[in-house]
Amino acid sequence: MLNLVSVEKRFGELHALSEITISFGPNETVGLIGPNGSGKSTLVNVVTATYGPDAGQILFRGTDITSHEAHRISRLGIARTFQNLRLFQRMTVIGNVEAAQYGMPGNVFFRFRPDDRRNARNFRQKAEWALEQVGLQDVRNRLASSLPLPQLRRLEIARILARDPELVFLDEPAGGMTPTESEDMARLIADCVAPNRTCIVIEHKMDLIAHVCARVCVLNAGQLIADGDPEEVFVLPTVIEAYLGRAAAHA
Amino acid sequence: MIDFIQTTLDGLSIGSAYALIALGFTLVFGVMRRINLSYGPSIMLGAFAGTWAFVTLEAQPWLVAVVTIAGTVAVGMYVERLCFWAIRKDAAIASMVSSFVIWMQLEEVATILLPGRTYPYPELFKFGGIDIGPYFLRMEHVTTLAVAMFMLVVLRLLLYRTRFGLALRAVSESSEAAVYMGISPVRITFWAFVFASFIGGVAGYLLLAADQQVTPYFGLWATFKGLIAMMLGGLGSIPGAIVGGLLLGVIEAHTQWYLGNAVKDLTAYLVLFLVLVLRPGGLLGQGIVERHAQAFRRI
Repeated sequence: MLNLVSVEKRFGELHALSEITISFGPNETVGLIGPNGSGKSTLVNVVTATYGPDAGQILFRGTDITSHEAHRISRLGIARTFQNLRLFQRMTVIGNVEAAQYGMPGNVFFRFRPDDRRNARNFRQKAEWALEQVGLQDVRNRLASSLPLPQLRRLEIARILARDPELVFLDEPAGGMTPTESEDMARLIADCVAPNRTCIVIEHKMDLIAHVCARVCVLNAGQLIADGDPEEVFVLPTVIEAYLGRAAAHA
Repeated sequence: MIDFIQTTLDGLSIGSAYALIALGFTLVFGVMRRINLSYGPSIMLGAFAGTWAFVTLEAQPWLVAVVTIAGTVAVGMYVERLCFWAIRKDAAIASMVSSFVIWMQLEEVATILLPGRTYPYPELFKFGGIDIGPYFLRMEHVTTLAVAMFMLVVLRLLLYRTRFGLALRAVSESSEAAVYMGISPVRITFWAFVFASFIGGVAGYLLLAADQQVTPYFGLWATFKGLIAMMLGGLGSIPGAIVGGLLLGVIEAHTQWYLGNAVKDLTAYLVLFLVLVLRPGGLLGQGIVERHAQAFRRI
């Protein structure tokens, strides 16, 4: 599904990503973890073309997307959420979801033909369905700026569902949430987002990772230091050292 | 009282043309957060193409209208490629300065195309106007008002009833977020420019058909009127552009009637100054000033 081959990204002297080679298969749910500054968000940003890699190759379904523009990558079926939310605050909740469907095939500028109008109805129904899945149907006509953080995070999930992408990056989907809200988010990801697509979750809350991910990749200082089953990865000395320091790893 | 109402009606009709020019500015500013200073000169060059067709080819008024609008759109596309597409998004000042440079270039092109200072422009209607009770409405003014209102409805439908409008609003709010929805800001910006130029071409035609003449100074005049109307109504606000344009037209008409032509522009500047002092974001555009202030506070 997604293959990164020797991907590198530097910011001046800082090696944000060093020789990252990793593959994500179809319908996998993978946790991408690591301490702050380890390169998790940089990896997502490089794949989704927020900025290009300095070296290496990125393949999606066998197609080289290394030098694609962000909107083209999005149209290929790769979607993402953001650690710092990027919603259209002055649009309604339903407007945000409809904007997310923009690049989908059949969603044309002007609906002159009967087929276009039928497609538009289907897109609208899909947007309504996505809001129901995340429990925001009752606030569909409110401005996004009026919603509290947990609902805004759910709105980002609704945008994903309405687009039905093949590959999803969730960047700290439970960021700023209480434990109860995080549990709800974990359930939502497991029940609605993860099925039938590749889902890569960046998160510091390990209980959420353990709940939804069958595989975990660990980054530290821009390098991939572990990749495998969560129960095995969480006890690796290199992983413990990355999070807690050398003394804890050998304790 | 009859004079007052008649003057207000005259002001509204010229103001509706100002509103169209301000709408063009607002559309581009809303999407790009950049000011296109050569918007007025683009309309002027389009009008010069129209009057060239009129003078040299003896074109019919409808063909002059088509040439004017098409010419404005073509020049608008040229300006977009040169001053906005080619310059990085965060270099707003560079875009504005280069649009000023292009302004000079467009005036030169107009002078080369038609070396004289003033050229005739065909009138819209041969008959004068209509009487409604004690009031007299010139047909050009009625047409300007009607076309302006029609364009507003079209713009409203475009923005809120089409996928293009949705994408345009998304880019206007956050082009960084819009790209991850599959929206190409470059493409949307280009079409916003085309549409703004179309509106400008229509406004230019209506104004010049009423005046029946065009000079190279029309570009300067249109840029000033459009910018003042936009700032009166509120930066980046579409309803603000309409209110600003109509208000500017009415203020000018009343000043001209009661105080004379000499102080017409001065009064418009004075009102703009007062509005900006009392309400810095313009009458309906407070939001954008507050958002920028918040952004600076965050920095």
